[in-house]
Amino acid sequence: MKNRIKVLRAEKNWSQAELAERIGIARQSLNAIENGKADPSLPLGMRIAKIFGVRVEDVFGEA
Amino acid sequence: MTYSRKRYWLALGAVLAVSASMTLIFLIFEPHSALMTTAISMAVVAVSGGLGFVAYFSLDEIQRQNEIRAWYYGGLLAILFGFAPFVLLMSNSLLETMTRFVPGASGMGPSKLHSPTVYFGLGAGMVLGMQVMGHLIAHVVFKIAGRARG
Repeated sequence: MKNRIKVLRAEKNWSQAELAERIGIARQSLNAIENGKADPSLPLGMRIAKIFGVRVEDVFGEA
Repeated sequence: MTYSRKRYWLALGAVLAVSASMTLIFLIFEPHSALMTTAISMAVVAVSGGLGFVAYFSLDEIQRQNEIRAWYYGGLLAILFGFAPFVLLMSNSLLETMTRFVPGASGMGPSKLHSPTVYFGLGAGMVLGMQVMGHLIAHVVFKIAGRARG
């Protein structure tokens, strides 16, 4: 699934490790989500969106 | 239970330590009564199972997805390359399994027979061991395939 995590992360100036810690997942898992190799569940997707302060569709819409 | 890398490795290490120590206890203290064999088996299953759950729920959801996938394909690998050729052939070539067909007077029978629980435990342990090996191989294959895809 395409997403804008990388862009949003860059805007906040967060590293992958930093964001992963905030979300409560492993850095490798965040990397897999970011690169579209793994799909997060809806609760995790909502958690990611909440951390960036945007809507879920703003993170996981077509990039 | 939230994601914790430290808790995961602690629980996994404890599973290995419990299994290894129980196996050692079993090997050191002979002869084995049926009660002792059953008690040790139940203790290993209960403690390892509990710790396994702790380890599993200490992973995040993406790691759990990967683990489930690896256990599934690892199981298939274990059946194809482990269980079918190894266990079936071996069980049919061991004198212990053939003992009822070997006349005692021939002297070909095994000199020391353990209780059936021991052989059952060995069989179950072997299948589980193959599953674990298969799951590790599946992880390696996933990693190589992931790198190939870029």
